[in-house]
Amino acid sequence: MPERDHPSTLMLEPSLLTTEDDLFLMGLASQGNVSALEELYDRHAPLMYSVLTQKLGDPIEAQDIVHDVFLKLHAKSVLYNSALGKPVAWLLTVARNMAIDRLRKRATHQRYLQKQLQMEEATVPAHAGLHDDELALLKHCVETLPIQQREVLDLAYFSGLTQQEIAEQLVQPLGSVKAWVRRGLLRLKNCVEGKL
Amino acid sequence: MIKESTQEEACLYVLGLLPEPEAVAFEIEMMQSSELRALVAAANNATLALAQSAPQQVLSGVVKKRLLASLHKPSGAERVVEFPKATRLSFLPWAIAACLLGVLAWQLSSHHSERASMLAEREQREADLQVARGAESVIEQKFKTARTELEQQLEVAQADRNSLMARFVELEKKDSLAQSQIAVLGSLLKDRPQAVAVSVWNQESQSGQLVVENLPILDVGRDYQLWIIDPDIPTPISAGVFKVDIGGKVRISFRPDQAVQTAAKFAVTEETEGGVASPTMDQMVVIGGS
Repeated sequence: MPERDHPSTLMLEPSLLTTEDDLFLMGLASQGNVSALEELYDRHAPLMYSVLTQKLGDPIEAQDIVHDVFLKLHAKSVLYNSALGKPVAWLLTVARNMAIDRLRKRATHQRYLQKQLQMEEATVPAHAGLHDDELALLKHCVETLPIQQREVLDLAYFSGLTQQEIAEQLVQPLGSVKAWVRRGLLRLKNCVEGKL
Repeated sequence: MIKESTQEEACLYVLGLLPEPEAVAFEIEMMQSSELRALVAAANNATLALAQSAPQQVLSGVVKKRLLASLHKPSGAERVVEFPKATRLSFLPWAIAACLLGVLAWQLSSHHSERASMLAEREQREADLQVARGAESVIEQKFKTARTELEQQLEVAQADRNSLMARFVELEKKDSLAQSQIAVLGSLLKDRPQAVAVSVWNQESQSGQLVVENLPILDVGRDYQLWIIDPDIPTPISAGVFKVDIGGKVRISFRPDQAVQTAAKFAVTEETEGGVASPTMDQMVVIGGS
């Protein structure tokens, strides 16, 4: 990763932002730079909100978590490890974990299942600051997953259910669920790495 | 080369499906393996594809404003303070406190209500008492007035009664005099012709008075005896004995021993002291009749 100066204000062109820029912004934001945090917010909050709304089924709760994730980032109460993935993936993981906590506390998984039925008719993809061709490729990677793998990954990513709950939901052995998770995610990884 | 089971753990870890103890163990294993870290990073990045499959939602600008407002709060205010996780019985103290508060509120409410009721009742009783006292005062005043009027009427009645009684006595006296029979008894004594007696007899009361003058003073062991002569009775009726004073005078009231139907005459005889059953005729000193 190249060394950069940390200016107090940022004047970056949105079209020039890349993963490296995200890393740079994360560094500044974690040091209290509000402009960097605002830039990260503009870039990734919409996708985070879409994922959280899908996950929670509640826009108000989704907004609260978006707010809290960036606040935690600013307060350094969560630490980013660049070795474990892209900043956006990490931000989404933090948001998802907070959403899972909420879901498990209120135990309203049923709401997710109802949401899933509605989702089949409303599938407008979010962008997360990515170019259209990149979005198309990501969509292609998901759509080409075998149905069982996609189903189990959707449940794992959006529902907040545990392994056992997913197995019960799908009426499948736990071992099968674990295997589908592994195969699906690795297939997705290979697809993304090969295409992007 | 990463084992298939480790790959599976990595995927479950990335998706948040690894239970807490296994997740910690996996993170320790991951810290020791750059190859494993790279797999996790790649898997994390792959989840972006899943994220992109979520229907796009429009995020309100209010959230960003709220975030920026939170960031610009004074130091310390921006810290997110989380409530401690609730345990299963953590609500118990609050529930007990709420119950106690409820009971206290109920008792206070009940006490206030009871007190207000008692005060109202007391005020009502005091008002009733005032009314009763007022009524009692009016009654007492009326009683005093009535009593005064009655006393005045009684005084008037008493005066009337006294007056009437006086009038009655006077009339009775007049009536008594009217009914009295007066007889003058003349002297039968040759040496004392001026001896005289007056008898006043009331037939109704069967009593009378006798006034004597100029009778001689009798010797010791001798008395004058008064007789009433009733034509319906064969012998004179004794009306008592008497003596005269130094001047030959006496005034006596008398009542005969038996009933007199007609007091035709009165006579006085000189008899032995204490009187006799029938008169000694030759010792008669005065006699007279109406």
